Formats: sequence, structure tokens, C-alpha cells
Amino acid sequence: MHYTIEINGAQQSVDIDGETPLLWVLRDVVDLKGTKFGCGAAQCGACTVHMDGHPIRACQTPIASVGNGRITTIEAVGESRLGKLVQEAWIELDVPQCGYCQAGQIMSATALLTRTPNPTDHDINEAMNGNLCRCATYTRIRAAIKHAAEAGRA
Amino acid sequence: MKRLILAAALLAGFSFVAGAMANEKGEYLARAGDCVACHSVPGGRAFAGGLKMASPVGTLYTTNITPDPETGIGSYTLEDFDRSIRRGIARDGHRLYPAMPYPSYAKLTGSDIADLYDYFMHDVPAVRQANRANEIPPFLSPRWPLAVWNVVYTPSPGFTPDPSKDAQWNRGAYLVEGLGHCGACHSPRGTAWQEKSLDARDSSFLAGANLDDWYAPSLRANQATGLGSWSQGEIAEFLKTGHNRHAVAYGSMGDVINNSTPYLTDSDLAAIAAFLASLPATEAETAWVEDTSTAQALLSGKTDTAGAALYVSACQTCHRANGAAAPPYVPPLAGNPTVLDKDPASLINIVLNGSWPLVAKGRPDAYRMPQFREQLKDRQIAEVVSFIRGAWGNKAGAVSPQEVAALRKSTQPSSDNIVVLKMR
Amino acid sequence: MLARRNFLKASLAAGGGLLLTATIKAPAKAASLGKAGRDAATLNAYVRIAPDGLVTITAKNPEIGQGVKIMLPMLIAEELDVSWDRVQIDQADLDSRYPAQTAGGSTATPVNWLPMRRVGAAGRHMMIAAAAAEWGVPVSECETLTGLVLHNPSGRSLGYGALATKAAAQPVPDLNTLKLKDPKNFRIIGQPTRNIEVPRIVTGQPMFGIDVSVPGMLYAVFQKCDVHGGKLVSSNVDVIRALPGVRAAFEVKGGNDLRGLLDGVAVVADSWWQANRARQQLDIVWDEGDITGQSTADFAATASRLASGKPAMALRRDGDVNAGLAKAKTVVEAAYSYPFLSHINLEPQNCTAHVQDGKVEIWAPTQNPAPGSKLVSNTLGIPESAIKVHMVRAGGGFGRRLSNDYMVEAAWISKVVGAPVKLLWTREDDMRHDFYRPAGFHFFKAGLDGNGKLIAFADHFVTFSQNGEVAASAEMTAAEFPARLVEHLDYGMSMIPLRAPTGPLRAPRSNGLGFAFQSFLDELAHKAGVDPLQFALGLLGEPRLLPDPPGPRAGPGFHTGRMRGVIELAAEKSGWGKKSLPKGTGMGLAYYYSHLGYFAEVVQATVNAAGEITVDKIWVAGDIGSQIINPLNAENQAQGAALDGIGTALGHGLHLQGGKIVQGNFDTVLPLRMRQSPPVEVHFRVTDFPPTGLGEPALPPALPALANAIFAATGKRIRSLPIKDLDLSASA
Repeated sequence: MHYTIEINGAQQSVDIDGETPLLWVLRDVVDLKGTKFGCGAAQCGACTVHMDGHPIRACQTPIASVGNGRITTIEAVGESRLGKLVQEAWIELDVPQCGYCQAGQIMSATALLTRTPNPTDHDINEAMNGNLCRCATYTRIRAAIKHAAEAGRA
Repeated sequence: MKRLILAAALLAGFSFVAGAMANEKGEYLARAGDCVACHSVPGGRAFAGGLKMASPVGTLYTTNITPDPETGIGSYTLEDFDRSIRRGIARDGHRLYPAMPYPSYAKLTGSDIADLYDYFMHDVPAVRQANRANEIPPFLSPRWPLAVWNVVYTPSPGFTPDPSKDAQWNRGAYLVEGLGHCGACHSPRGTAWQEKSLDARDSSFLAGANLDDWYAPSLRANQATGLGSWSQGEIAEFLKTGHNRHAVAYGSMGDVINNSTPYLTDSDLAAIAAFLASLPATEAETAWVEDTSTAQALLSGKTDTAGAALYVSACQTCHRANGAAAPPYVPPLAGNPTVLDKDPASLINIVLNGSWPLVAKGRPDAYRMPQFREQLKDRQIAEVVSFIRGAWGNKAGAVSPQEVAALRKSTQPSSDNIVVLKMR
Repeated sequence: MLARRNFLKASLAAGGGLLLTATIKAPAKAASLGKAGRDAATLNAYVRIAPDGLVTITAKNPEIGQGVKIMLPMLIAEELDVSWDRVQIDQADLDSRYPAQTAGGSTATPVNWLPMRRVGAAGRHMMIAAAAAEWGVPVSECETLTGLVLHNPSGRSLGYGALATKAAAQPVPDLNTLKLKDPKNFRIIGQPTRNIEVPRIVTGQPMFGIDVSVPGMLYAVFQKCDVHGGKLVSSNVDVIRALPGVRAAFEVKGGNDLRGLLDGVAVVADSWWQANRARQQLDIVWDEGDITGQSTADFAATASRLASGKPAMALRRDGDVNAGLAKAKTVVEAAYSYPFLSHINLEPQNCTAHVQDGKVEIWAPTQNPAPGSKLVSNTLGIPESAIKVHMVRAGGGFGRRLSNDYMVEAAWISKVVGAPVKLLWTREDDMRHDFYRPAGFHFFKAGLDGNGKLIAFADHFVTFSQNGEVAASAEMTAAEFPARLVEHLDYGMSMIPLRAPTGPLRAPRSNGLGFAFQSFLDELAHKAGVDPLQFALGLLGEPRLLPDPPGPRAGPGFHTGRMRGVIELAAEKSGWGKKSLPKGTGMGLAYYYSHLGYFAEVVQATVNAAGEITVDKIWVAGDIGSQIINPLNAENQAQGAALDGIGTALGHGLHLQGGKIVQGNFDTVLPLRMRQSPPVEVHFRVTDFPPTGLGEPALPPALPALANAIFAATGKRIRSLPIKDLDLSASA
């Protein structure tokens, strides 16, 4: 099947089986490898991208279901003010260890700050619970979200 | 006799492939009856039996129905075979437990019985595998009550077409009421474990039932909890693939998709759909209407209940804020009959245990529900299921942690292992 | 001496590459990533200096998230005496010029602390020699200041960039006589230093093994038998070949070494999704071999049976434990166990390989490339000299990537299809084909005298064997704490034969032993009616060094004073014994020495009536010697290790059934999540001992500290893991 979807502001045409997860279209067709494969079961969050600004798991999103949804990936999230602030907070606080989950973390964190500019610990727990970090950098992820929120208020 | 002739006349139009060999027809019928689902174990030999089945009297093990003369049915004559399938009496005269759906199979025509017999005797490889003894407490083990049961609950053999309906409807009725034995799960059972009704004449037929910790939804035209909002094409699509825009098959319907309905001809599936679509609703339900306020609240981060918060963190990234998910691959929760049913067993069961890979014609589906029994407590599952049952315009009741606890105890988690039931 | 003199043989630069710069503005005083330009002079195998003074330092070790890619260059840059923001870092391939290119055992610091500094010091020495020659002055009159050589008597100075070519021609000094900086003059070591990869990580640049892309590359999956080492009998591979996108599907006959190439079916397609979808339709008949007793329930039953008899072998005997127990006022018996674990690297195992014209090029996220190269060489019959291994950043190591099974699979598949191939495992492959942290069973018996003093201690350790030998990472040494501190002590071991392969997982052995021993010691403290802190200090006694028993695992010994130091620090920071805690809340203490590091941790946890656990806070106190090389990363590593321990205790655990691992994904193995993750305070006690590593030693105490906190909160003793499988509700 032929699908045209909007990824990072550009229309992308792909000819592919409609069941194919968005994750593999991003990684292996459109060559955007920042979105990661971790579990293939929506259990780890490494593949989190935005559809119309809201976090979804790309590994459980059939390409046929994307329709007119606007997809944003880690490669372009920094084009938004909040996305950029989140990335800068991650650098400032030196959050990552291995770094593999962090694209997904940043996508979830940016979506959180978009709807909740001043998140409490509870808000962070709920919004970030679907994103595993095997290195357990949670302490710094939490701090970096607050850091970005503060920068957003400035 | 007259009835049988009429039946033959009506059914002649649906012989499945013109000029097909009789044993191919038998194989087709065996698929329509999904015999392999119960008479095999995953990884075992086809039709050699051994599947454990829970029943009100105790644990039953299905039997070897390969043509092995000693452990199977190799020594059965056509008459023996007919008597066991349509009357529930084995060759040695003992009564079968009605886990074998012979009250449904009683509807089979003599000619289909003959084709099935031919298939089982000549095409199914004989497997020497002794039957396993049933585990039934002694006070329940005498089988003579089954004879009484049979007299009361098993109709006399043969299918009586409804002359007021067209040939397609009657073909559908024959498949659903007979070989398909859909009522075995979807019809409510009475106090003697009998299906309350065995055909379309009764309004309880396929009206939905709880069996083995699953609620098999109503297949009648109820607007919210039945198939009232499904087109005939969507019903056929569901049977062919296990998926459509409303739902994805789960529970023991997985066995049906695995080996039975996807192999039926399009005209048989259309006939089944036409028949099911004709079953009137048992009650006047309001069709589901979307309430967009749920999605707005979820997207704005306003989760005022614990259930909503759990939905956001555990469910929303796949099933989406509007509960519409990504059908036919990932089923919607908004307006899904299984979500709207009074009986929440299936919804709780799926959240607790996840789903097995659904296999249609040897190909597993691409998406699968993970299990949450380890990640969420009874209280949390009750909260999130209650939320789902009340969100997006869904109007089903809340569930209690006790209901979840009971199902947690009586059910097993699914696995990602792909099971393909093979007839050869 | 690891950094041998010939590694430092100077030569002029050849080759080069483009300078890569991060897309986000780097903070001040940061190094960058990059390859040396064509005009850079090669001072030695690690250091190249461009005419403009830009220093390129090669990071020799695999990076798995432990921060070694900047830590080792920091050591070199410090002694080279350059400014950190004039440094760029280049990742080495597997290369015989570099020693010990491995990531495991928290060894990078102790192994490289002096050699890497000497590499830098040698470079600095050559710079001075070149400048002295240029000016015709004695070397002794010159000194350096962040990238400059100064001649103070004349006020002259020259930059390293201007000197580089001449410095490269200078003789390499004797590494052992080089004078290293006094630590008080360190300007890079000891500074909080950011990970230079973060700007790339947060913008999603391709940098992990899974991101590797090679022109003409195909995608592969490999189905093995879920009973480890099972043999392939037949398959429907012909059917698979006809499926959409499939380029090749073939059976592989492997060997018997569970660490090498095993039997399986490879499916190669135009995309990974197509390969994996086709693979799901495989129908394979396996010969699983003998799986008798290879189930979790069987292991537990066998362990109990073995425990009722004498241990099959003695590990240590001090005094007479039976006499000690007979003398004791209180005898305490308890059985502890812990499960098999998978490493669950978030990046599933993968490798890209290209076998062509008798040569192999490999891109692998491996912790241990050298044995991988050897394995590929032996299996494919290609000399190691024709194998090039690129070390690619790994999405977590945890010990899993010390094995290179995925590497030989990728190479084999590439060889068969004659094209570059990226092999990628699914999560289920990863969990079911791991080298598992072995389960273990400890049957303890201990005696306390009238004063609550521990006078007798016995452990019958039931562990696993493979091919008659103790399974990898399943052993216990005679030095296991509290050995050497109890008068009557007896450690014995029995083994259960195991089919599944085992191997090191972050803090191998210690991650299980720490839980069992430290929980039981806490149990003893409570039975003795002594506060666990006082019990620990009493057991440790006066500060002194207890030498290790001789043997292959003998280390520098155990220093009771260093352990006391961190226990007291953890107690002080956590307010141990000084807080009144609400009902249902408790604090637990545990301490453990592993990988040359001394750690004590206090966990505060709350358990509600429904049995739901909240970990409120963790205090970590560590002693890893005289120098925290990068405090910014040290805090991150220690926090992560402690939380890894908490997550492991709460939610990790595998079951075997008929020789197969039951669990396959993160719905049944539950890594720690944000909601469960407490604040972690990290404190280091700087002592006058050589610096040691930090990837592992902060992990082991976290598990028992949590278990002990749960006991303090509820009175329920955690004797088996994971805790998620236990009912801690008030009604239980």
C-alpha cells in the first residue's frame, strides 16, 4: 500500500504493508534512527514519538493508522521551544548514561511540559512511567524536567 | 423424511466447491467444526486428543479421534461415528459429556456426517495415543444421568431449514447452529449446563455467556453490546482475519480464527454474517455515541481519577486518548461491545493476562496486548477498567477489585508463543 | 605494565578525517567528538595534535554508558597538560596497539589510572623536549601550562600545535620514570565533566550498534532453539523463502559451545520488519535434548534436598562450626534464594557484519571485542588479521556484551548471503538467549552468644554446574563476608547441573551473595537485639586489613576500616537511628565490598496495608580511593547502580520451564520505572588508596538494604526475590 504521512513537517511517501509499525518506517525507510527499538510491545517507551504533539509508541502504531497525524521525532523535537529547552536541560544536567532510552524520555518529557508547564513529582511519575531507563538515570531525568520547566518560565 | 429432503434441496446450492472430492469436503467440514481445536494439544499430533477441559463435573480430557483402531476411532462404522457426533453416544455405548457439542452437531445432515467420516477415516493420519482418564469425583462419575440429559437437551438429528428465509440465511443458520457450534460459548447455559437454546427461534440463542472466565459477547443485533453496529461485511471480515474496525478476537475465539473460519469460503462467511445479522436484539440499547470530553481531558493532562491516570501511563500510547486505537490492528476501546458488556470478565481477563498471538491461516498478527497482571494490582486494574468502561461515551458499570482478584486467581497469563493448530 | 613502550612509538600522522561537531552549542570547557585532521601529528597511539593545537585523544575502551569514553581521555589530557576544551575524542577500533579493550568488572579505573596518565605525561615530556631543542635550552628550564611550553628564564613560549611535528620525532621517554602530577595540581581530573556524547544523544543522531547502516545492507533475524543448545532437525524454510521481502532463509548448523554459533534458522530480508514477520511463520522441529529437572520448581526442590545433606565441597572452614553452634545462646537458621536474571540491555543484541573476499568487517556494540574477533575467526575460518571490528556505542552492557554470540551470528549470515547484514534480535530473543545471572540458594545457620556476638556462621550454598564445572559467575569464594571475622565458620557448596548458559551480570556473584548474606546478617542483628549499625561495626572490629586467601581470585584484601568508614557515613547522612518514622516505614542498612569498592547504603521504604512498596529514599556512601575522576559521572553511576539494585530486587526474575525461559518482555520482567524511583543521595569518602572503579560496587548493597528496610517497616523478612512475587499485605 501507498501511504503519505507527515514526518517532522515534511510529507513522506512510502510503499509498504499497512501493518508495518511506524517505528520501522522511521528507522529503516525514512532513515530517522533516533527513535529506538527496545521491546516491540509498548512496554519500554524507547520508540516514543509525537502524533499531533501527543506521545505514542511508534512500535505499536501501524503505518495505516497514521493518516493525517503529524509525526514529530527526536530529530525535530528541538525545533519547538520546549523541545529545545528539554534537550538543553539534558545536556546541562548530564542526564544520560548509555543514552539509548533518552530519545523516548525527551519526547515524553516535552509532551508533559507542553500540557503541564509546571509539573509536580506526581505529574512526572505519571507521564514518564512508560519510559524505561535501564541505567536508571531517573534521578536526573526528574531534575532535568524541572530544570527545563524553570527555563520555560523565564 | 420430508424435512431432510427439503434440507438437502436448500443446502445443495452451497456445496462448497463444485466437483470437489468428498474427502476435501470432509476436511472443509472438519475446519468449519474446528474439531482440531479441542481434539489436539499445542505441539501435539492433530486430532490425537488430550486437551484438558474444565466442566461442572470435573476435568475432562478430549479423546483421540484419529483412525487408530485401538486408541482412536479406527474401528468406528459410519453409524458409530454418526451416533457419537449427533447423539453423544460413543461406540461402546457410553455417553459423552456435553463438552462435546453434540447438541449442536445434531443439526448436521447425514451427507455431511458421511463426508466427515470419510475424511477422518482416510485423510487423518492414525496416531496411537491412549486417551487420558477424566478427573471426575466418584459421586459425579455415573454417566447414566447423561442419557436423561440427552433426552431432554439434545434435539433429534438433522437440520430443518426455515422456509420463510432465503437459502443464504439457511446456510448461515446451518453453519452457526450446527458445525460452528457458536452457541457452545456464546449462548447462555442453564442449570444443567445445557445451552438454553440451540437455534434462532429462541431469543437467548447467542445472547452472550460467561464461560471459563471469558464473557463471549452477544452475537445478536444489540446496538451496544452485540453486533448491531457491525455490517455483514465487517462480521465476515472478523471471521476471516480475526480483526475488523470494531474489535479483535480474543480468548477461545483465537482457536476459531487459528484453524476454522479463515478457511471458510467467502460465500459461507457471508451466509454466517447474514444469519447473525438477522438475530434480533434482546433489548433496545442505545447505540454508542462518542463523547469527546474524555479525550480532551486526557490530552490536557486533566486526569481526575486514578483510573484515568493509569490509562494515560499504561494504555493511552497504543489505544490513544480517544480510545479509538488503530483498528483493525489494535482494537478500539471506545464503543467496543466487549468493553460495553454488562459482564466485564473478558475486559478484565485481557488486561490481566494479555492476548495470545492471533494466527490466521498460519500467519500471526503483528500486534499483541501485553499482560498487566504483574504490573498492576487488583485495585489498579479495577480502576483502569472502570475508567475504560465509562470513558468516551461508554456506559458500562464500574468493576471491583474483588472481581479482578477472582479472575487473577482463576486465569493464567498469555504467552507470546505462537501456536498454529495444524490438521496435518 | 599495560601501556608498553612500543605503543607510544611516535610517527607522523597519516590519514585523518572530517571534524564532526555537535549540532547543539556545547557548554564551555567541554571536549568534543572528532577525528584528527590530516595535518595532525601523531604523538603516540593515543594522542594526535593539529597545528592549531587541537588535541585528538583516542578512547580505547568500549563505551556502554559507564562514561569511559571521556574518563580515559581525561587521564591523558591531565598529564599532557592541555585545556579540556581543546580536546576532541575519537573512538578506537579493536586494535592490537591498545591493551585491555574491554568493559567489565569496574576495571577501567584501576587498570588504566597510571598507564593512561603516563601516556599523557610522555606526550608532555616530548613537547618539552621539542621546545627545548628549538630554543637550545635545557629541558629542566622548561615547563608546561595548558597547551603551551614555557621557558621562564627567557619568557619564551610555544604552543603544542606549533611543536607537534617536532615533538613526534622526539624519543619516547621511559614510562616508568616519568614524573606524574601531584593530584593537588589536577585541573581536569576531579572536575565535574560532561559526557560529550549528550548533544548527539538528545538530538537522536545515529550512534548505537542498532543504528549502523552500510550500503547494500540486508536485515536478518536468527531463530534458535529456546532450550539452549537444542539441535535443529527440520524446518519449513522453503515456505519462508517465498514470503514478502525475504531474500534468503536458511538453516544453520552450529556447534556445541553455547557462547558460539548455535543451530538455528536465519531469515534475511529487505527490511527488519519483513524478516521478523517471515520468521514468525517458521515451523521448526528441534531436538531439545535432555531437559529433565531443568525447571525453576525442580531447582528449588533439588536445592532443598541437597541442603538436607552435607555440602559436596568445602569452601572454607574456620574453627569448628558445630562446636560454635552448640555453644551459642541463640541459633538462627534461614534459607535465602535469588532467581535467574537476564541483563535486559535496552538495546537488544545486534551486530552488522560484512564478509567479502575473505575479509570481515564488523560493527558491534560489544563490551569485549577481542574474543569476538577470535570467535568469528575460528568459526568462519578467516584469520584474525582479516577481521576488522569497529566498537559501536552500546545501549547498555551490564555484562551481557562480554559474550559475542550475536557477532558470530551476523558474520555467519553475511558470509552465507554474500552481502552486508544487520542482525537484530527481538526483546524475546534477548531475554531467552542470554547468559543468565545464575540463581542461588543459601542455607544459613548461625550462632549468637549471650552478648549478641556472632560466634558461628555456616552457609551451605547450592549453586549450578555446567559440564561438571561450577557454572560461570555461579561461584563463591572463601573470602565471602563475614569470613575472617567469625571464629567458627563453615562455607560449603553443592551444585545442580544446568543447561542454560550463565555469565556475569553487573557486580557478578556479589549481586546475589550480597542480598543473601546482608539480609541474613540483618536478621541476626535483630535476633541479637542489637541495632544493625552497631552489629555491623561490632563485627568489623578495629580498622585493619584482612588479606585474601591465596588463589586465583585473591585481591588486595578487605579493609575493615574502609568499610566502617562508609557505614558510618551512610548512617550519618541518612540520620540512622535518629528519626522517628511513621508506622509502615522503615530503614534498612547494608554494606558490601566488591570490585575494589566499599559501599554502604541505607534505604527508607514504606509498605502500606495492601502490601504496596514505596521506596522513599536511598543514601549511598562509597569509598573508591583517593580520587573521584569525574564527580559528575560518578554520581550518575552510583545513583544508577543503587537504583538498578532496587529494580532488580523488586521486579527482575526469570523462570525456567522445561529448559526454556518463560519470560520474554517487560510485561513479566519489570525493570524499575519512574514511579518507583526514589531520590538517591551519593556521598564519597576519599581515602588514601588507589582510585578504583564505579560501574558495579554501588549495586550489591541496594538489594539487601531494601529488604532490610521492608523488614523494619513490616516485620516481614524477604528471603527470596523478586519482591513482586511476594505478598506483603497486612493480611498475608
